[in-house]
Amino acid sequence: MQRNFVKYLLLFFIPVLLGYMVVEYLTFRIPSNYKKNSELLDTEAQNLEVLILGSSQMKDAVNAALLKQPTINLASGDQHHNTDFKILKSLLPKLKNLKTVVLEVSYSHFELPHNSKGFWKNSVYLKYYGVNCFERETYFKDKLIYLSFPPFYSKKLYNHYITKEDPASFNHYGFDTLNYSGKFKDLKYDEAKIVEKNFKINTRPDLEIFETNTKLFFEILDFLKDNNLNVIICEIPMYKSYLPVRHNGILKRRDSILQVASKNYKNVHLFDREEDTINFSVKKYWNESHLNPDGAVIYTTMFQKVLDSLH
Amino acid sequence: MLFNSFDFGFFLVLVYVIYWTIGTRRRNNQNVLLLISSYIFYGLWDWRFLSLLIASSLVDYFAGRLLQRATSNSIRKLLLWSSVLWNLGVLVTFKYFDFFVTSFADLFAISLTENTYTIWNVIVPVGLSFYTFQTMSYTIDVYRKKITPTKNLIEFLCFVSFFPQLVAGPIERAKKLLPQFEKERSFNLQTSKEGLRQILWGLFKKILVADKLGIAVSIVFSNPEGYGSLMLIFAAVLFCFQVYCDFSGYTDIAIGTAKLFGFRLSKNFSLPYLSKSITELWQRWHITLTQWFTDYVYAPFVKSAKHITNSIRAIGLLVTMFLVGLWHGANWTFIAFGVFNGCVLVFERVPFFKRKGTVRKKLQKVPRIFSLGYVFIMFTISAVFFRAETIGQAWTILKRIFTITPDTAISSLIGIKLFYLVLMLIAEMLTQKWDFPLQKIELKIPKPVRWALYYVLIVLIIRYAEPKEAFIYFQF
Repeated sequence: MQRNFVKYLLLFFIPVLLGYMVVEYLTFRIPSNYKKNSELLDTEAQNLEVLILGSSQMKDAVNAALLKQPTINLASGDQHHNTDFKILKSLLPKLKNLKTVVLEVSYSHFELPHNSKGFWKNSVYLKYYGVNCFERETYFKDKLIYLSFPPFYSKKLYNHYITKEDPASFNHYGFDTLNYSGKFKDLKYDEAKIVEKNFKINTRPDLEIFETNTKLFFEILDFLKDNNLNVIICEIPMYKSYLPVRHNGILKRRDSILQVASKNYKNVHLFDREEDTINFSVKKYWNESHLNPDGAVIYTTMFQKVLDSLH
Repeated sequence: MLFNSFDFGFFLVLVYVIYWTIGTRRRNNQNVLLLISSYIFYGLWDWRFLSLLIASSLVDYFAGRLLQRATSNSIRKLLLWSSVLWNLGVLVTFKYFDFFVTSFADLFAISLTENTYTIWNVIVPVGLSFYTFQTMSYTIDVYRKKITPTKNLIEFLCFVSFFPQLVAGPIERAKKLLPQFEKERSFNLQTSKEGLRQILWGLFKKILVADKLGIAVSIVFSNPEGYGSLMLIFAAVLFCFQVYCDFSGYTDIAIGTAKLFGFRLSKNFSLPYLSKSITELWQRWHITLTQWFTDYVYAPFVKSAKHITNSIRAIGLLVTMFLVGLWHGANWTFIAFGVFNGCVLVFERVPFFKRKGTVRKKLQKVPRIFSLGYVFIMFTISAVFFRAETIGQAWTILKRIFTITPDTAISSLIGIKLFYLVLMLIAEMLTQKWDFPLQKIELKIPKPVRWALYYVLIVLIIRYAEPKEAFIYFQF
């Protein structure tokens, strides 16, 4: 009877497994910045001089192809400092020529919780960069990309293979040069309409998280100092409607921490363009807190000057 | 390890294969395997709290053994209270201490520095309220001589830590679950298939209904001031279904998993929203918890009075429901949830416990639509307290609902999320006599259609599985 049941189960689940394998393969074939970064790490790790970490705001702001120094931009959506640190520690031995590490500190970075141990992108980091952010032993399931976030990748599969919408063109450095389709483009960059729309911003102060995050932040700075690396801390431009909504307490605490960091660590350099509303007009934005590729050109040019002063 | 994770899937397959490979006549080996698996299952959450689980089990095991030997009443009482105080002590220390200290400080306007009680400010071990209640009921039942204590330590440890029901129930009684560890278990094809189908149904309820509704509910509850009456009512109603699908979905997975190993767990839900009164709802909602509080709190409270009066019963109900609320979490919102339900239960007994003419009796006679509406409105109001982060937020929501605050726009929150809910409701209503809608599907639908249905459900479950959505009741 047990044997029959095993046969029954195998018969039932084999099509499920085969179907899943097809889905996983199709997911892997979708172009992504992770794949480009992975190739870059495989072929040019020894030459890379600059490592960029941070969240999607940082990912969209720097086009490494425009920089003179060999750079890899490993910033990614929702990636917090604790994940940055794990990536940094894991990849550092490979990056023999690394001189500068770029960190992002957005307005509420210190009061947003760190990524959990089960952060879905841990599978992505493991699969593409060979970095284990799980804080445990990994097994084959941890490298399955589709399973890491099925609803997200289902939409990707649908857009890529069926509707063929949402075009992306990743350059050699993993930057998407066609990343314009977003809220601002949908609103035709009409400032009056943009102002009327709601957007996501954290205005809830959290001193407990602040304490945890700043502690880790200084740990990262100590680590970078011990490894004789330059540090550039970036504050990415925000659209003008975003700036007045920021919580004053969160903002002041962030700024005071950055002042302490720049004062106490000689290798730390601040690069603050958060309130630059002159160079970054509405057409340079993807939404209130993200630049589009045109904005990235301006930001990267400014960033180059900072790098030039250090290298 | 969450039931709705692939990690659990792999774990389950592994344990299942070893379990039946050991052989059906090697009960002791199977029990040892279940015990080790349960401890691994629990330890993967936080191995530090495994020692607490083992300590609690040992305290009640030895309390049971000593109770059997003791002849003097005073010693028996001493043993009982030692066990009860240990269990309550663990609960208070790990779950309520922080709450009691801060509430006391708030009450007397005492300012607490951060380090005053940092040592106590610990995280709550997962499933603490469930397994503590289970072990406590064992000792009380032994004291009451309702059961004979087991001599077999392994079987007792299995009874406390059986992984399908360890972290969120059903809260089993020793009388029902313990004998199942004491007898040989044979493989049954039908039970195994039924178990798998129940797991599938539970996952459907959790992932496709509860988690989807949860997204909409969270959006509204995180910013109640931004919404008018209609949207707030909508969110509160959705939350009622979310919490039902979440918890009953979990229970289905737990019961289905237990079936795979040849165990029968207690039914915990019986279409509670079809009740005709709140009294009936509590007999159909989280049944094992209600029975626990009835047997170990309400009944002894009432019986302890010299003269059992209606007022004593009413006070008993209020005290019990206060504790039911507190059981759910160390927060005034849960207490308000319990007390509100307690008040409604008392109201339903007006004019106080006479057989004829109580509100509850009258509700049985009115057209069903009215009694259903009444139950749903009352439970939705209490659910606002359950879901809100603070009492203040709950008041804000209720105030905005009852003052008919206009909605500036009906949000797109209404939409596809409701589809699976409606589907689930229809399926459960049409199969009311079954334990779950897929239970007897073999008798009704031919194999190709059945398998097609299973495949569709599996694809949808995988497709919509968000990363790491914990079950609401795990925090209790």
